Amino acid sequence: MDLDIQYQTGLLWQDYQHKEWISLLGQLKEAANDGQNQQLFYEAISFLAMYVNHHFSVEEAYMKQYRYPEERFHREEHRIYILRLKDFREKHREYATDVCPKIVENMTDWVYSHIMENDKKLGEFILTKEQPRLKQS
Amino acid sequence: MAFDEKYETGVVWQDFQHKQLIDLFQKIKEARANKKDESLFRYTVAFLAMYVNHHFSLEEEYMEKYQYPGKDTHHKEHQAFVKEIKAFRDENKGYSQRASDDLLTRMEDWILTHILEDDQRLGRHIHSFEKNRSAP
Repeated sequence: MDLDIQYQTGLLWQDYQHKEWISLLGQLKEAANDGQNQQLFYEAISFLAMYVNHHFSVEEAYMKQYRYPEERFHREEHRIYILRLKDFREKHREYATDVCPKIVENMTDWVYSHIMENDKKLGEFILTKEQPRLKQS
Repeated sequence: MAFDEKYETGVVWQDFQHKQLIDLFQKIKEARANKKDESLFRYTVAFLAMYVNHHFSLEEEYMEKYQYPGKDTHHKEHQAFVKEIKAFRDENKGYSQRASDDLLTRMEDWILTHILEDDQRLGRHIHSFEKNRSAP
């Protein structure tokens, strides 16, 4: 199933990775709800961290390649999310079981607002670089 | 072996992911020579698992949506590599020098045949599809 149209940037790779990211957060939430299975939770969050790192690096490669004017700000947003994820991964055992799913929900909300506020702008910028003729017509 | 222009398709995400694979190959090869490849081995195997799942499914998303004529053949190549890596993981639960060598051989073969040949064709198709789609 595709990402809801309001969240699409129109770049296949970016939409695809956003969709996967959200689906991984869904898996993490399930693992968090199943408070008994620490191993499952740890695996889900490790995989998510690896995936998000990769996704951010790809976006950053585009920003660099096309000299995106808002690169610094956008990278800072990425850095903050990575820190939150890292913090959560390290401390999740200390949280009460009902707290973990809430944190995952917040991290999911962050993705949606990051897409709306930042990635749509970046996506449009990349499209103007890669498809100049489309924008002129 | 280093990532250089002969591997480039010009599609930024695709080049980025190929470069990661080639860099990793290079790193294990160097670690192998210095006998320090044990810790890298685990990371490499995890990375490859993500790579074969994510990178391939992303390419397949493009092949499907951009009506790539070579889709079926390309898809079969992906399936074969997924199978190969799965078999490798089943056989090698932990590190051994033999496993490390085996992994290097498989990766090198993949880089030289698939990335250098098949993916170049796919990259050209992605470019031309995006160009034609945006023509006024």
